[in-house]
Amino acid sequence: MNYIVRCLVTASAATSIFHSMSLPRSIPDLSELLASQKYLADQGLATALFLALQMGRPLLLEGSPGVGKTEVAKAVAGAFGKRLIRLQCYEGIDVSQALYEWDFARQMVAIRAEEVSASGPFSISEQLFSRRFLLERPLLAALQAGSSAVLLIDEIDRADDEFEAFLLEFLAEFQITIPELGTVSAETPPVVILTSNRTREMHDALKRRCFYHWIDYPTQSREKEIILLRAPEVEALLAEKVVAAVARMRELALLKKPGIAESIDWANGLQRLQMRDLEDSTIHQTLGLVLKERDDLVHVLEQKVLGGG
Amino acid sequence: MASGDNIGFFLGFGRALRAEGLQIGSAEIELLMKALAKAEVKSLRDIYWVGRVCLTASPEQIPVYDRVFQQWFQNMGDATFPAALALHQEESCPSISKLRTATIEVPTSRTSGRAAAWGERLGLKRIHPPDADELSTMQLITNSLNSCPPVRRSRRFRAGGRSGPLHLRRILRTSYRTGGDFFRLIRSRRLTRVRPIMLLVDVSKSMAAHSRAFVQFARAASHRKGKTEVLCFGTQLTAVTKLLRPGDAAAALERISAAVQDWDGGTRLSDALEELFRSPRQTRSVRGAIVILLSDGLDRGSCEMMAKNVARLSRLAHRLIWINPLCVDPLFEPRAAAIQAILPFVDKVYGCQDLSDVAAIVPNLFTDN
Repeated sequence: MNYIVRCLVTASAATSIFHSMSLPRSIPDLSELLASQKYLADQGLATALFLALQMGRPLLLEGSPGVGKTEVAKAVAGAFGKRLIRLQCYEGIDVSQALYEWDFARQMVAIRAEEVSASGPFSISEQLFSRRFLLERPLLAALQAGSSAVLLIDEIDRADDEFEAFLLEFLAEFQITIPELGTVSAETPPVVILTSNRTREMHDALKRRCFYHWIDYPTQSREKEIILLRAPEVEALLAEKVVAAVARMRELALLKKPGIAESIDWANGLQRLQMRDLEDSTIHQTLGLVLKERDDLVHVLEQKVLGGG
Repeated sequence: MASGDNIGFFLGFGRALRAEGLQIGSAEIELLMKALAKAEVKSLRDIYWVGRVCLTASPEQIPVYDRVFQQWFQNMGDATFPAALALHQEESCPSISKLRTATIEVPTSRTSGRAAAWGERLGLKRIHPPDADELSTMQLITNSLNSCPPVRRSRRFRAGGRSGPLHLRRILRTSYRTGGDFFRLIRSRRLTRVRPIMLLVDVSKSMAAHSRAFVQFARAASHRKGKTEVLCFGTQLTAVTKLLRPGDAAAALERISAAVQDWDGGTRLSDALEELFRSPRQTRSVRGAIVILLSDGLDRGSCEMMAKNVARLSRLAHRLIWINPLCVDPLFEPRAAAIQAILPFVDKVYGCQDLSDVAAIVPNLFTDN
């Protein structure tokens, strides 16, 4: 991480001017645009996204796994015809994986080739640290793309503190300095969406740079709509049964509650298997699509909460 | 309302939220005013959502925000208000508040021991400040935890070592000194990270004679390098990590005395573990950690549940070490059903009754197998 210190993120106020022509005029407009991308946002999420787009601030989305945090970014990118640039965070992620890396192998080959062609070792040195040999990683790519991109920083809670501190500076300035090349800044900042599963508490400073929205499990009727939108071949009646059963499961003290993604999978699976009723045998065979922990499976089957669904 | 009034109104709203513990300064209110203008709010429902997006930063804050919002805006006489808020609350509030009661909150102040949830007899206890001998033993424990800390391989690389992948960045850099010729292949090595430790300290009646020593051990451990989580359990689970670390030892122990509400009561290890697993954050801090259970294992709960929960603890943790005061007696045989249930999942059992016993085992704690 000490390399990050060298890539000093210099201070300069980021201007937050977007291509206003592509922005939604109102919150309902935005909801409609997202729905055209098969994403149903409730008013809270639509408000959060609208403000993030209008005011050029990053949006931090938190919520249980499988409530559609990552999908938001995809839907926004699709709705506005922007490019989605995704940075998946993991422990130990550093500047060479997130920002940029020099293509050392090609540099070495270039140096050798230069020597062989006997035009002197120094003519290549001008180009050795040019864009030609620079490998763009997601954050740099997002800077270059500017407002034509949606930058998704996924599962930030998996990265370690050092990376979070670096990100804080990056998000404040939308500008980085590559020592060999100079400063790269975004003319217009990209749309930034961060997601977190809340397995670790974010630093307050990072949260304060962002708009915040907690995505909750949807109501049953909304969840049914989502299933029907995402998996159109599922029959409405089956979707209703699945949603009701999943809602009952969420009320139990499970180790891992099923998210919307699991409901969709389950409904899809049942439809493919031509199982239109949630009987005991059906549930036995397919519950693995919804619950991914053995203890939970046993718990749900023992409690028989799904009978008659 | 004139815009000047508006600002005053929302500043007051911000102050009310701040009084409830949300971190809100004038910058947040400024942001809120800008956001309200941008979003062209028409109803209170709109204001509710814009405010929530701008002013909250965690799900715990949302019920607080809801409450203050309701208090602050109910006098406005907006006809859309009751319907709008009721609609919203039906949509998302109940499950948020459910989530809130289900998670174990990390205490942030000294009064934050969780209130009695299960109707047990509450016990208060004062832990006497450590004497000079104990203080030096605690220092010794901290030092020996630091001298041979438990480590794991990190995912970060540095230049150095003999067998790792080539460190191209460093190779190219050093080649500049020799006009671009490579004389030496530099390899990379993985760094190591100190493993987190989680201490589960039993504060029940049967442990009354040892809990002071074990809390002192916890204080000593919390000053080691690396992350150390401490949870006390009797009839309930209390996270005390943040109370244990700051200040001098006497004050820290004093804070623990006040925060833990169930001294010298019953033991419900199984329930405590269940409560721990209900919080994703606590569960994550067990993952890959070395869990040290300081308990005599005399639990009256169901053995089956106990075995199930300890098994899960053992699966999540890197190592499960059990420090049991009963085990110092060479004639001790684990007959209690609860102890029998736990033993298969424990990697190592030590017998310790006081602080010097603990100090004696600490140097080998992470190297013994």
